[in-house]
Amino acid sequence: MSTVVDSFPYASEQSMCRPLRIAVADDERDVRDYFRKMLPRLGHEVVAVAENGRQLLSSCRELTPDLLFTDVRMPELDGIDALDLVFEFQPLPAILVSALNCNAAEPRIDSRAYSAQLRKPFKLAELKPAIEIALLRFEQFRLVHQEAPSLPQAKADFVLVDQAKRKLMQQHQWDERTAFDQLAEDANRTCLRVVEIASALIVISQ
Amino acid sequence: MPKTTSAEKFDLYQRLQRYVGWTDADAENVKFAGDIIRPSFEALIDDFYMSIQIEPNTSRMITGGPPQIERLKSLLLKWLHELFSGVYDEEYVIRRWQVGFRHVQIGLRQVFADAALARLRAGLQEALELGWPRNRVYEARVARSVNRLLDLELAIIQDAYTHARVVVEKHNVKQQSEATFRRLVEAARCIIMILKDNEKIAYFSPFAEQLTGYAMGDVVDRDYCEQFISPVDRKQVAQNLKSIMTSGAPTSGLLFPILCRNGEQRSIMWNGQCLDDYDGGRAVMIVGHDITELKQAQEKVLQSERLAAIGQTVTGLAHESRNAFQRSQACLEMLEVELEGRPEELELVQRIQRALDHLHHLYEEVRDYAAPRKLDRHMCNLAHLWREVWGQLEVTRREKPAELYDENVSGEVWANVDRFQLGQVFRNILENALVAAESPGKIAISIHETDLQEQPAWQLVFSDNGPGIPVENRKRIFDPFFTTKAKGTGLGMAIARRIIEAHGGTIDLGGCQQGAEFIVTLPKQ
Repeated sequence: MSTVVDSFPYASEQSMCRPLRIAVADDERDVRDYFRKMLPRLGHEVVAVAENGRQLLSSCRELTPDLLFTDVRMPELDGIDALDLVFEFQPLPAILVSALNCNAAEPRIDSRAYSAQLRKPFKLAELKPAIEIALLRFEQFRLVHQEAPSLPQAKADFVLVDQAKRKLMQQHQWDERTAFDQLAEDANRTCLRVVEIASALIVISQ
Repeated sequence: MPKTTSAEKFDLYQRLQRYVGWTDADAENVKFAGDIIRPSFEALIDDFYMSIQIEPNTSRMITGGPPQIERLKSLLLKWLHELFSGVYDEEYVIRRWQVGFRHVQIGLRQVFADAALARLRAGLQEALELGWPRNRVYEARVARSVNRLLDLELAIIQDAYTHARVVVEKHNVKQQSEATFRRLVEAARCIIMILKDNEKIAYFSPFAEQLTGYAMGDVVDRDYCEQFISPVDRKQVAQNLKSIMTSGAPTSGLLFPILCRNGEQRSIMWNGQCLDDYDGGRAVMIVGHDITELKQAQEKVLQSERLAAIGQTVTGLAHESRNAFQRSQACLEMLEVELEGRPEELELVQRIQRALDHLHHLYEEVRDYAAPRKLDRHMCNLAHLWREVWGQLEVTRREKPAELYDENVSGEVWANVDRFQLGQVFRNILENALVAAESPGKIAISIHETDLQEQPAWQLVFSDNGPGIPVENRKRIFDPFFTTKAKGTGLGMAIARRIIEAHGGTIDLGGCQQGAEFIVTLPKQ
């Protein structure tokens, strides 16, 4: 069961993002209430509030939100499985929210680098950057997806692209956007796909 | 055979006298015979030594040439005079016994001692017969008395031989066992010392030399406690030694550190035993096993077990606790929205927020300390890293202005490290330095190349212009939960040590006179 709630139709002063229609999922009521109450203050609309992955999935089918926040560990269908199923019919920007200490505890997170991550406990100030990163990564993913023959291949390619991105970030102290743009630029210049540039870079640096 | 006293020897002699039927009449007869034989003493003595020189078994006893023979001859003369003196008291017996014993000592085989006496006996009899007064009928009983006396002489010599054999055997056994013992002592991988009853060192084993760095010559005749035991333990150790000495009962399992020449203390497990006769006096032998490494290993195992237990507990709590933190955080921020425009209530919200942050920080730090360390190593410029960390401490430096002195560092200080975790180490050290430093703070970092377990390494020295670390805290500075700050988990330096050790490096306090000094040694690879 998804819940459609009313949202404040204004963007807060701090938000530079366009207003988004957001779906959220968390098995904790306090967190659901929080998103419902606070996201509108950042200028967004909460279009669905789910208690588990199944509810999230059906809300997304029904409403096609602009972005989703989902807890990772949830009953019935967990956040990652739900995200994968959502991607089957409509890839969209997502933020995986988890109480995990590190990604090693949940290796599936790393292979879904097209989504942003938020670690619990988080504060209000972290929401906006998380949304921005989610939008950025999704934009990057879309480019890689366009170059890939299929969604599964696009996902696999993006894992490599993400690795290459990190290497460049570490090497040059770049931000995420600059790193990807460099890959994209190199791809453009060489008439190669981004993933090909990325894998070449990984091979070279090894 | 037990040691026999003079009285016992005399008692034995008297028993033998009775056994052979010696009476006062015999004594009279011998005296009478003596008068007859005495003029022939010199001829008998000459014959005696002539026969000795013919036989190799006996002649080899004479090593001093003619002067020795002259001396021996006069001794034999004395012996003969005593034999016929008619006085056979305790002193006589002891003297005869000693003469017998002397022959054993010089190594004369018993058969030749017996043969020598037989030759003498024959000579005496001949002299008796030839010298018998012509005006008197020869009396066989006189000769029998002389024979009886000589039989007693023979018995004494035999007794001396038997006795000596036991003594010699004992001596040989003792020598052998002493040699074995010495070899054992010298080969033993433990400290062996012998202390005289005034607690001065009489023996110091090779291993003790090796371990303590003192040679035997350095410590012999020195007071054991003053030399090796730290002042706090001296009273106890002296008491233990005294009790071993007085009770004679062995003591084992005493744990006292020993002070080595280089100032190091080693943990030693001591056993002590009383020696009744060492160079003629009572002494104590103490044997010490070096258990320093064992103790360290045990502590390490204990520590890592403790860590594993904490780690398991904290990891088990991790997920649910973070969810609970998140719920509190969520509700608090919602409350903040509800309370907009109500500054007093909002102040309370802020306080709850600070408490929540603190709790969360504590929790994460304990988890961080106890969690198993996995390193994500990359080549990293250490100087860049500490400058970056220094930059992040800008907020702290606003409260206390401070300068970082690292100009002398050349740019190329690369090492294969986990950048994030090593950054945490630098942060912990620099934060502590900032807190401790006198305002304006002066913090210096120097780095130079060194070796760590034969691998190329960097040695970094962090120093500050604070008051330094008090002696009583130096040992505990890396202990978890040790802190001198009012607010602090006391995990900062413990975490730093865990991270450095995970890198195969070491972190220690330096011994500089001013301020605190941390020395980090980090393998380059």
